[in-house]
Amino acid sequence: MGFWSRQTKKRKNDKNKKQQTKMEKLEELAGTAFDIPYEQLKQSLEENIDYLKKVTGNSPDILYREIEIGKRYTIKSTIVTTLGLVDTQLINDFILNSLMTQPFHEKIEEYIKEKVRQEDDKLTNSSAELILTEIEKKLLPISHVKRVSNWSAIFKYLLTGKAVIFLDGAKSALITSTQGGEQRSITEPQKEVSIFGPKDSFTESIVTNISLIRKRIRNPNLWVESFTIGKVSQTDIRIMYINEIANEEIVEEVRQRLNKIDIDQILDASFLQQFIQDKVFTSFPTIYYTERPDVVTANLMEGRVAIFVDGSPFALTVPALFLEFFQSVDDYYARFDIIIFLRFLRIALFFIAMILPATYVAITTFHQEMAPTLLIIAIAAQREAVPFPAYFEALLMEITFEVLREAGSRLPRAIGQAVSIVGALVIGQAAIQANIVSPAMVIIVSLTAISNFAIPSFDMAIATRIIRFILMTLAAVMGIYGIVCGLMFMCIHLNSLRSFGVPYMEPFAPVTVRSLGDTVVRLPLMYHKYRPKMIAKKNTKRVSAVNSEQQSDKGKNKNSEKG
Amino acid sequence: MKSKKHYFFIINIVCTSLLLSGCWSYRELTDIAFVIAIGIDEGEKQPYKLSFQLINPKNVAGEPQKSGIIGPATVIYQSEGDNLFTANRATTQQVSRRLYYAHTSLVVISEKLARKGIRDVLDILTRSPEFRPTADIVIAKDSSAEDLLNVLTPLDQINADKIQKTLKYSEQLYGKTTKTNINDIVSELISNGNLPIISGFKIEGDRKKAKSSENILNQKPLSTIHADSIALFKNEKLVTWAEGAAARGINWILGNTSQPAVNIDWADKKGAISIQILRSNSQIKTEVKNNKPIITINLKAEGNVAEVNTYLDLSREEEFIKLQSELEKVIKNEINEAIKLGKKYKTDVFSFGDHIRISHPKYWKKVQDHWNDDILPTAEIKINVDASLRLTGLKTKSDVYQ
Repeated sequence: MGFWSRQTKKRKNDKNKKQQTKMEKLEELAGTAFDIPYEQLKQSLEENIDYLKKVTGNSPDILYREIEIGKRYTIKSTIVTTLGLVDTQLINDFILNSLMTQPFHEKIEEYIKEKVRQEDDKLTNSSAELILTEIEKKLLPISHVKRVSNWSAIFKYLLTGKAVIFLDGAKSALITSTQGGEQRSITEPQKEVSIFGPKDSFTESIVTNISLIRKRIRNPNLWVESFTIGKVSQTDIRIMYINEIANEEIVEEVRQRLNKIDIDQILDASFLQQFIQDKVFTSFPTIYYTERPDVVTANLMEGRVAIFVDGSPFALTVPALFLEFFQSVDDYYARFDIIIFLRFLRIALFFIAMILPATYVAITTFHQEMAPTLLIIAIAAQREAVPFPAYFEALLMEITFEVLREAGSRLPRAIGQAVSIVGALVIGQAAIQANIVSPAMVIIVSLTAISNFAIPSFDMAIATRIIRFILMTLAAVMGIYGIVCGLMFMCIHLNSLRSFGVPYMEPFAPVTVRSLGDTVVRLPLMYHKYRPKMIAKKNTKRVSAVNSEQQSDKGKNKNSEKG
Repeated sequence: MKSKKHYFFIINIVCTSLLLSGCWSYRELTDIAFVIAIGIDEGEKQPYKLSFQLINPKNVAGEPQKSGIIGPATVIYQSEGDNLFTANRATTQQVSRRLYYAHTSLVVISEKLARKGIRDVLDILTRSPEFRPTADIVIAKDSSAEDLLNVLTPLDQINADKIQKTLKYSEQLYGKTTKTNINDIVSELISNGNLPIISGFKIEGDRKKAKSSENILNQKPLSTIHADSIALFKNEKLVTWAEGAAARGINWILGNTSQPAVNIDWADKKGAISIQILRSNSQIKTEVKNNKPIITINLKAEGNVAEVNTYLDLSREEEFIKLQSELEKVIKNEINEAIKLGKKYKTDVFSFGDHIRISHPKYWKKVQDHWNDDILPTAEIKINVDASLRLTGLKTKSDVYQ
């Protein structure tokens, strides 16, 4: 064992070295190619436009609209936009319309005559800047206009759909918010379907997503911070938290982890998830991944931090605790009594999904005495003609199921159905009739699969799939003893996990009595008086009616957040 | 450094857990033969002859074979040996699978062997970790254990199942047999104050055809096995059979029977009224006076009137009370019968001795060795029965008797 691990270590070290050299090379390349210089604009419009064309490789979707301002004395100006990212209507109506009308030209003409060209005919930088200020302050009826003077900012804004107005002679340019283009509208959630409750979900636009939360929390304490991650992709990332509630340490931790990310692109929130999670080598999710604004809102209210990624219809919330993955949104919208039952059921199903095939293997190969006589005889009768050992049979069926699931998940809907029919016939009928598997095994596999689907969180369901195979192997080697060993390891591992510094098994380990009302049981909402203690450290009261023993840490609860 | 420790910890745990697994006993279902019942007889050449009733799983739950014929659900293999373990191992010459005892639920001992003593049979049954000491034990009355196990039974495919279920319900609803398991017998064998009783099973009808499938192809089975009576043991040996009233008397005293039917003679008509007992509860109290034990049995029974085949108006209080006292008399009589039998054969199957041991330990120490032989036959035993009737069914007066 030791020898083997040493060998692998050596190999790993070699690999690391190789990777390091590769990375260095890549970094060098990146330094030359991808870093947009923090250079100032030139005075000459022509030079600026040439530079722009050079950097963008003359891409045809960068549009240059050249106009002239003024009547007799004219100044050249170019409006640069990115095709598809801008709202052309907006540019036509509010930029071109105001810059190209007669009254405007006359006004500029006067202005030029009066102030700028008193000494000679040449436009100085300062005078061009003055005109640009005039345009910015008096002439553009657009909500958001900004003055920038370096290229990195210009590229950043240009490529997010803003129009850039260059003016000949000026060392700065105007950025106008004209984003538009095609965008998916808000639709019903696909992954987290609920029966009660709101029906909106996040879209690919970060602006829309953040507005969905703002709509729900009308409070100035809802703070948003912006990051740009992805060396090449320059993806917009925002974190959101409620200032008075969120634990500053956790927020700072999130900031630090985000700043540490070194990657060329962020395609989806799940990219971030992999970079900022506490432990990489675990099958349990430590970051919550949701497409529902109401879930994010509720999590923010408990002091969690939400992370949005532009282009991803999912938001991340941290810290995420183990039990969170067994709670669905409907838990809070439906009556509490049925929810208590359902939550117990889910925990039970979680265990069934993990240990049922393993238990079958253990009982049929080690502990035949554990099953009732008639049951074990019935199983024995079925196994009589099956040529494989129980473990192999179970493995075969579980893998067949995974194959079907994998094949079906990516196929177009029409073909997907065909796969499931073939699968049902092959597994359910033919395999039994051909005596390759026993009917009991089919029942076990189907029960396991259904239990797996009943876990609300997809991430947690995936975790059970991996653990299931490990436990099956342990059961085949050591029987129930092996399963218990495996579960103990899992338990130790779960307790060692942290999500942004918060113990993963909270409020069970460590026990937080006042948070137990929303764990496996869910008390009626009026009993949810406190936020999770480990997450929202400073402001843990939810309701304004303060209990006598809680009077001591009074005060900060000015905001009337009531879950 | 930290990771090294980590690895060491994991390797350590894995290794120790592998070493700890004591029952390293991987066996596929197709490699084991479930023994459902064991029959123990005297051997012809060697002291013991064992009959193993194995389950043939295919014939229990499976569909009919393509030929349309289902063989019997169980198979019986036999072997002889000096003791049970060697007899068990001798079966490997005949059976293709390893015998598996965890689901054995019945042990049948032949009457012949039981009269010689059952002590030697019980050691392996309690020593083996695989065997369940909760398995029931019965005596094959007037036949060999092998013959009893060989009878094909129609309702329950597995003969041992039938015997067990019969025991359970006949004890509960009729009260003339009793269900005892190996644990009970073992604890009773080492005690002087509570001797073993085991129910006997008898083969009725055509013994030859009992073994053939012809037996279950008829609507009326040619041969059946039925719970018959209770065997009284003196130490390890069977001494006599308690039948009918005496058998139920034992169950009354031990509190085994819960809902038997009791017949009452009325107006010179035998068995005119039948009472269904709902619950009964017996208490045994002991006293020692002048170095002699006085044992009091207090029995409380409640019942409903189940059948009245005579003229009786139960709406009249005096009739009702009279019926209650008649019921008390009948129960008392049954208990008396049992005690008479116990005194005659000098065996305390009623656990009187145990009660004395608990309440008068010093006295018990003096008498325990000759309790059964000298003290019990002369002991004074008082019987108090308090019977009460609750319901009379849908009627107070019979419709057919005016």
